[in-house]
Amino acid sequence: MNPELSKPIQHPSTPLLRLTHVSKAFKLEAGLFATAGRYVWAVNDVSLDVYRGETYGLVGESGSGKTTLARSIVQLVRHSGGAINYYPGARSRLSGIAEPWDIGTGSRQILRAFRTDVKYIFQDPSSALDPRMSVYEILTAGAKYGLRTDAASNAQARAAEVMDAVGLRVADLERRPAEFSGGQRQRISLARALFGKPAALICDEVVSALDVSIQGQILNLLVELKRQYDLTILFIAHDLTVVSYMADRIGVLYGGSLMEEAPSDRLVAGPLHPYTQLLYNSVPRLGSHLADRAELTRAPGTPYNPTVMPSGCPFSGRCPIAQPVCLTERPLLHVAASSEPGLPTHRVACHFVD
Amino acid sequence: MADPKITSSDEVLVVRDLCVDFTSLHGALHAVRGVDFTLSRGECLGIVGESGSGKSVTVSAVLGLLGKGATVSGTILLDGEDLVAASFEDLRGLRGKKISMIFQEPSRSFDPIYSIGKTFAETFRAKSPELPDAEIRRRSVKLLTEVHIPRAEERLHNFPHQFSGGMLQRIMIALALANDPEVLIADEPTTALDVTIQAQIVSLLKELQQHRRLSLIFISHNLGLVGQIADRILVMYGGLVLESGASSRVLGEPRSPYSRALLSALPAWGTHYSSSGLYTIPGNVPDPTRPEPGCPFAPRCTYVLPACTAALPDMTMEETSFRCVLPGVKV
Repeated sequence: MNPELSKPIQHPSTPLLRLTHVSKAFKLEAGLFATAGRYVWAVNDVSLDVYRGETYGLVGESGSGKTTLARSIVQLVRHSGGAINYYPGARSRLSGIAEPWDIGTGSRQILRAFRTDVKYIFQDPSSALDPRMSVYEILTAGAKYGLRTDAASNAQARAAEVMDAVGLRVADLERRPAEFSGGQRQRISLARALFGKPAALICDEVVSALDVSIQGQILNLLVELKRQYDLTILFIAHDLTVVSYMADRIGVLYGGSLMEEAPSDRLVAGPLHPYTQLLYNSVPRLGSHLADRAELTRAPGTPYNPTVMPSGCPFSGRCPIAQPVCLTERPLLHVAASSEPGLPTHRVACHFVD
Repeated sequence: MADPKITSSDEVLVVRDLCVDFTSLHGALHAVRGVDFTLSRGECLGIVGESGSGKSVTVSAVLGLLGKGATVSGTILLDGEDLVAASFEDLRGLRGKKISMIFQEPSRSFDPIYSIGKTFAETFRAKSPELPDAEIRRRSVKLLTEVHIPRAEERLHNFPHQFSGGMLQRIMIALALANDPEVLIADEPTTALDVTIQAQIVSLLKELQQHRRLSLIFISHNLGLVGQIADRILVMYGGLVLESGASSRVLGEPRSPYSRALLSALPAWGTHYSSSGLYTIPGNVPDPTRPEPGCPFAPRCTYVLPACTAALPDMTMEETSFRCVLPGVKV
């Protein structure tokens, strides 16, 4: 793939995570009806930085590659191209190794230590917690197999500490996941992630499975934990209102590509990319009326097909302003002309946005 | 109860004191505990509520889809005909013809080994066994075109897996309309779909409601979405209606503390964590096996009074109806 596409942005502080031209193609298994040698192009040449202490929001519809991208960071899937670099900093248990560390390299030991530093939290807490384990076992299982840390040697006290941090009682440590409600289970997931004193959390749709009245509790808790423990958060969700609320900066994915990236308030005020505009206009807001959104009634054009090697802009099939060049030439992710100096840059990948 | 332009048209569906109990291992489960509502011809009624509020059970009871485990009582009048007392055969005659339903997950609502054309044929023949093939094809194409499926003629030969989720939901809607029902119930029709597709489906439903003068019941947990399509809204919680009224009123000036709390719990568009925390509702959704004697929301309510837990408050009938001992609090 063209290495000139999407150059990593320059930022005053060093990132915690730097993704450079990350791609992931899944090979389709040859089956009875399927043809061999086909790929699903899930993530295509994504470059972005996640800075220490920020909440980076990733939005995109299903199939946009947000989960694949997040999972490749903790190597639950191995990326097939590009590099993911980690800058551990002084606080980390990985501080001994040379910065930046390419997470695709190194021993299993280092990867384990990294996974204690950067914790992944899953969407559905009921399937992410072993029903036969007590909460105490769930919290401490990771430390048993991970690197020996101060947390592991003082497990009992640490478990009580994290339970308190997520708003559960210490007595709950003896109970099993089935005895908790959905919101409480998500608190257990958070407690498990916090147990090893991580630097960053990757929250993959952590409130999507929860009721509206519970969702707010978990979001407030995340904000609180972020402040208390100085966490960096990669926040993934399809709900734009939630992401806009939670994130400092937002990256918009479509068809495995980063279409736009900007500070949260700039994106709320005025998205530049036609896809982001469509996405933002589709959000049902209180007080808005269907009549204001007449352009949305149109049946879709050709959606992105992930099994075809992308050539042009992935959104070209649905884009209202697409030109022939959009089908053949992939637009470069560039700093938008309207970017304000001194603020984090606003980047956009469209031939027709300066 | 609602605004005059709606009550002036006639009522197609009237539900009075609907109760649904299930027997479970842990004793009786009171899923719906006395629900009243009226659907006028050509109107869109939105039902909002969190999981376990009884919204899906309510509409399933209307269609008689609950099966033997459920005990249904109360009155459900569809064009004057009582559905609670109706026999299985009577209900079968009504389903599809008078009242139809679409579900959350379109891909699970289709038989994967039937082509779309065959699915349509089956649906038409269920009501009119003598319909010739050519007529079935003509009507299917017309319906698919109505729901904006391009190249409808060719697409009849395709199978469900060859369509995207949004396209399948369009086809589902077309199938539900095949026998010209008067009432269409859409139970979380867009929850499994992406937000851009969701907007298209909601627009389509609105368009059909207006063109066909269809009476629509739209169920969702998403208040913003319901506000866009519904003329009136029913807010359910713990198997009860806690508030009902014109949608602009329920969303604009909610009278029940629960509706108010639910609206406040949504992050408002454009707010950010750095400037304000989210309003949260403490506690959890109620357990249907152990309903509270009083208001189901009382254990979580900011304004709770001793009277709230003693007995279930009555509905106060004003411009919006609400079930609360307080005559409409302001936050």
